[in-house]
Amino acid sequence: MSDEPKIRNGQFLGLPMADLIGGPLLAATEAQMALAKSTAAFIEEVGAMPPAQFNFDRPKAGGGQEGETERVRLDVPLLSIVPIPSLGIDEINFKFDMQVTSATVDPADGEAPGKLRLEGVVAGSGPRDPSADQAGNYNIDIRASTKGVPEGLARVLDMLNSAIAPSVKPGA
Amino acid sequence: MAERATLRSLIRAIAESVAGAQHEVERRQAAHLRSFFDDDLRPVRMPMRVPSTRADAAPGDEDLIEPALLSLLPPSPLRIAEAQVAFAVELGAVEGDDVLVALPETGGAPSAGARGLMANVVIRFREAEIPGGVDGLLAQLSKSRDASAD
Repeated sequence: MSDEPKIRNGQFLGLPMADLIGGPLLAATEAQMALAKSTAAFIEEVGAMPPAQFNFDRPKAGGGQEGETERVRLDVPLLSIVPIPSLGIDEINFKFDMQVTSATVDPADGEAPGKLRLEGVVAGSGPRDPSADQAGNYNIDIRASTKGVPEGLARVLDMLNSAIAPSVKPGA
Repeated sequence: MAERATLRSLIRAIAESVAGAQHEVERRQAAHLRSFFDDDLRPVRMPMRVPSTRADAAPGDEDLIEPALLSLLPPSPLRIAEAQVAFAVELGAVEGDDVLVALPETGGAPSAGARGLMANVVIRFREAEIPGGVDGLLAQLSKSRDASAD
């Protein structure tokens, strides 16, 4: 995607059509990444906190005398008792009108026909005048969604998950 | 006079724009995925001490677990599921097996002249099911990607 907006004589000339479509998608993707990072930060922060401790009495194990109790302590990792923020974008839908500002055809390359390149700007979002000339005005409607985990990534995650096993803490 | 191109090249340009947008999103997501692995290609881990679950653990014993950060996050890549581009185009002469179309006049103001035959075009892209052959190929690739001792 192009990095610099095309400006000539102080006038914005438009962006390639792929950029106009890709811009909102990339914004959503980056928002998705930011949400994932906030989940990681939460896990890291809360995972490092000492466990919550609970003391309570319960009937003595191993058949003590009737009514005899013992005091037990429960250490519960905080991560297991607080909701972990796990927000993600499930679907994004955006619609806009693109006014074509530039349509150029590359020179033909041998037998291959010249490639057409479209550039444009987002047109105003006001009510459309049906009598107005709509030539060069492209109505674009994009819906993107998340659809499961790719097969390869699923296998990587399986391998990573199966490798989670406790080890004795150093120095214990 | 507006520049002319073929209807086929116009539709191809629009399709390539949608595909280009999707490609850029995938490239960004791949870079994001890469950030969960270090320079030696090992997964970035998040060490945590948790109360021991070992049978012989004494009170207060802890275990260290080091799950890969990637396995703790919701992996949810975005994909274009449906895209629709609708526009009107002025049709011109037939050229071979294609039709010439007038490209929009650039520079802002639309022309006030009489227009020829206009066509309303709606192109709808939809994420397709993976064909059986590709599915089989991906399964083979996945098998060949299984971990090998290094």
